[in-house]
Amino acid sequence: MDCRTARHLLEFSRPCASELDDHDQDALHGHLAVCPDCDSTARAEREADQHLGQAVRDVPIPQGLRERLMRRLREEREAWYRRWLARGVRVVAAVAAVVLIAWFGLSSWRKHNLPRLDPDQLTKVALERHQYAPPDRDEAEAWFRKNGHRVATPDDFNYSFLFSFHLGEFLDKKVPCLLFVRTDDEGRQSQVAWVYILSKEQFDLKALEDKFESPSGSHFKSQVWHPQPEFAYVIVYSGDRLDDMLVSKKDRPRS
Amino acid sequence: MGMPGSQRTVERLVEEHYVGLYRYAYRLTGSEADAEDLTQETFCKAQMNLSQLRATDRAKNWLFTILRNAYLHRVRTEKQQPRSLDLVGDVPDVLPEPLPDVDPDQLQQALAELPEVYRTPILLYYFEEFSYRDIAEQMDLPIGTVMSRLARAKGWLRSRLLGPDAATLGPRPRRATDGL
Ligand SMILES: [Zn+2]
Repeated sequence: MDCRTARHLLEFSRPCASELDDHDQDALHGHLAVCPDCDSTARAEREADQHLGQAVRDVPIPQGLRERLMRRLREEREAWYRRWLARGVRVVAAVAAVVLIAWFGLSSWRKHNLPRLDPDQLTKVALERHQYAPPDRDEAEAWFRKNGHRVATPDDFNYSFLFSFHLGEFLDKKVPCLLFVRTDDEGRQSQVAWVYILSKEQFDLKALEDKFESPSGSHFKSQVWHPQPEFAYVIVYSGDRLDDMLVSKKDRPRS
Repeated sequence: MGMPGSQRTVERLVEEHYVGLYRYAYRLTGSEADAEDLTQETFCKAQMNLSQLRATDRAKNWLFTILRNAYLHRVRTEKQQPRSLDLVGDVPDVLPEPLPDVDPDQLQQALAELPEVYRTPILLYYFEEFSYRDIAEQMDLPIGTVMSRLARAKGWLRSRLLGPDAATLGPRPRRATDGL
């Protein structure tokens, strides 16, 4: 190795962080061992570096610096989480506002956009809840069963007057109901009777009495029949007497 | 900027590096207050960007880079007078024996007069024993450029602090601006 190369490699040979690979480092050391000129330059260079390096590093550390740094970092963390929380609250508030506005908008839209009636659809809905002619006692019972009501229809009625059957509302419960309509000879309606069929699964039937006081002053009269423990019948009818709607005892289909 | 990094990791970074970073900051700024501010800013940035630190063995390099960037950001608006190193005169081969004590104020003054592009490599070189590669990475420069700046900055400090005859060493007198 010549002196020129050695001087060049010296720049990369630092005691603490040598940049030379082992081969170059060995070659440089070999040259310095035999060349007093380069060796003294290397020593002087190292001494000057150490001298200046020490002076540059000699900076007193202020008292409490570490604690102040830690405290500041903690404050920054806390501030970040507060901002994050505040932003979260703002986002929630904004979402809530959007939902409210949308809800009011929808309500208002609905008010101004009431659904249009379709007669066919209305008829279909009505027919789903009311079954019309040909009225038939078995058909009525089957329809109630299909809709979740096991019923026994009263034997005493004349089912040729059965006009329709449906589920009525009674004390917030769906109750099977039969509508009987009797017409006179000219086809005019002369009497109606609604028969509500109450089951012991839905109501406490024990309190019902055979004799039921009709409301006074009403155009309609009512009766309660309780012929068997499982069912009771509340009958609301027009006219003075119900007998014309009933079959005579000898004609009853079932006993 | 994401959420703050793990408190434990950040506190460990402080424990391990706050002394070196503060000294670096002090030598860059020449002021205790600015140095403390810069050190705090560095750790705050590190805390909020901890996910960018891929390998813990690069933490020192990473923190020093953050500090330098923060410093540069501060001085960017200050009008930096480009200083020439031509002021370094011809120098003889040898250092005085023994080397004179370095006056702290003179040292800081000499550093302050160095343009940052020379000051940073010489500080990193002297005090945290970063490799040339580390310095080049922090300054985003080729290693050759780093080395030539280092040589000139060393000459400048020697001429200012170790006597007018000690700026460079070698068999022939040189000017610190040779090879610019
Ligand atoms: Zn030699």
